[in-house]
Amino acid sequence: MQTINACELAIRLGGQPRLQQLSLQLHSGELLALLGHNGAGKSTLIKLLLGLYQPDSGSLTVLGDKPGRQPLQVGYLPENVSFYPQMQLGELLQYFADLKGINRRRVKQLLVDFGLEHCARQALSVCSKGERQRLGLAQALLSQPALLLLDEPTVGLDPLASAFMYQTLQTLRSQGCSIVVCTHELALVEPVLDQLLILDHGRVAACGTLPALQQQAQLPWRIQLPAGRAWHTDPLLAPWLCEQQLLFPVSLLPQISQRLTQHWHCIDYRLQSPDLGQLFRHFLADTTSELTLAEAV
Amino acid sequence: MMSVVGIIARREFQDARRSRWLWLAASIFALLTLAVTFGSSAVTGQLRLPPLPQLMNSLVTLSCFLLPLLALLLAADAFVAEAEAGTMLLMLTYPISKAQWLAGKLLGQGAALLLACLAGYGLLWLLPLWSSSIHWQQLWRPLLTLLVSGWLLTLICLLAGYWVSLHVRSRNQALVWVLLLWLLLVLLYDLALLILAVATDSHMAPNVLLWLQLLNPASGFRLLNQHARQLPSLLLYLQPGLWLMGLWWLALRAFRQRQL
Repeated sequence: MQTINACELAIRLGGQPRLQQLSLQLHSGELLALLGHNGAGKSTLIKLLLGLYQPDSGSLTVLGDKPGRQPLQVGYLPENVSFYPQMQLGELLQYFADLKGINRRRVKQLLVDFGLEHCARQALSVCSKGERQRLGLAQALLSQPALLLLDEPTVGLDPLASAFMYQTLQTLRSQGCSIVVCTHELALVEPVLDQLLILDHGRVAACGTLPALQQQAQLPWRIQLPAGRAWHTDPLLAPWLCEQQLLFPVSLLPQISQRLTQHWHCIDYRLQSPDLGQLFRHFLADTTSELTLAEAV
Repeated sequence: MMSVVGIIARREFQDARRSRWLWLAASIFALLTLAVTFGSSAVTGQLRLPPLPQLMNSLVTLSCFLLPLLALLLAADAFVAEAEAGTMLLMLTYPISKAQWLAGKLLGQGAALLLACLAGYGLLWLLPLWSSSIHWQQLWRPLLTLLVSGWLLTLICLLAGYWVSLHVRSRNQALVWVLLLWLLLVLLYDLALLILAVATDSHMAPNVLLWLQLLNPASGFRLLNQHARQLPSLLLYLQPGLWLMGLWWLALRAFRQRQL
């Protein structure tokens, strides 16, 4: 089932274009990582998906309807939300549940699932950032939504809390929940993402699956070679040799791996595809240069 | 099951109670009422209850200054603090309308201020026990008018404060604007009318000044409690209602137009 279908979306805010020509499809159980510099348009896109902004042009459907029409089917965690400091943690979750018409049993279950039972009676002002973010995610999941929108959910969290957050997202995804996560934590999101959208000044710099974007970027793959062998004497490997590693285009992967195993009897090499960080830098640098050229013309 | 407006109102009331704001407001109000009741005669060299009309006048003046200030200070934070904390964005994705949210806040904070009013005026109900010169029959009507009109004034000021809170981008800005608004309501407007009266050298028709006073809710409150016989009573009771409706519309409009 298609959760999000955006076609040629564009919006201007305060006279400035904030998103241009954005097209996107997301299906049930898929996780979309939304990347880009600050001010690239990530939060604007999330607000469009929530129905808080209306696009100037293009079409957008969320769960087959206009955005904002199915508030119980969409869970949302805003960036840096600090909630109401005077309230107790459990009481606040119950407050949000009451507003959505959710029963007490679900609140208790979420408190247990998110390890918040012990601090349910603590005022939010004395809860840790990690506890508050877990509460934020719990409130987003109150109505067991089909789509979850998270705006930088791990900002300011320690590594363990961030890992817990992404582990939870992985579980939700496997249960069929579609997730859009706006983040700068590239290493954490890389293992769980299905699709990637990189925005640059409101334009789509890249959009697609990780393998497709790796293919599109044509960035070199990398093999760390064992020391003590005369790799430079091999005519196939020598052109790609850089100190103790090979940097080569993905099209040569079959020949190189065959060469290493059959000719050099080397089976303990480590193969590395371009990671999300490299792709991020590549696509943003590309768009910037295109922009510069366009401006020059 | 409680309605959405009721759920929001309960949270607002609990927030006011937990922040100790409510207790502070009620205590200040009660203390000042006591001071006005028993201490105003100290200038004459003795401590005794003033005559009832004089006492009511002093209480009206006190309420006219204090109630708008309490309400405006409470309302200044109402929406701008939600925007700063990120909860405004979150709440707008919930299945509640902006009108329901506004109504919930008004009811919750209005209830907190009603408690403050009850605490402030509460001791006055005991006056007949203290002094044989004051009787229930004389007291209940002006006191009830003072309580009801005072609470209506706080509701008007809450809505005015929400309107400010929905227009500004920071809590400090909101604080500055509500303090200016308070000065205008309780001091500058009456001062301007006084200047106008003097400048026209009493050529103004006698009732025009009273009608002009009705344009200010704080002056209207004073008129209702002090000069009720000089203007049609229906008009005096209608004035707070009109202000409430007008400010409700303005606040809701500001909410709908506010950029996220």
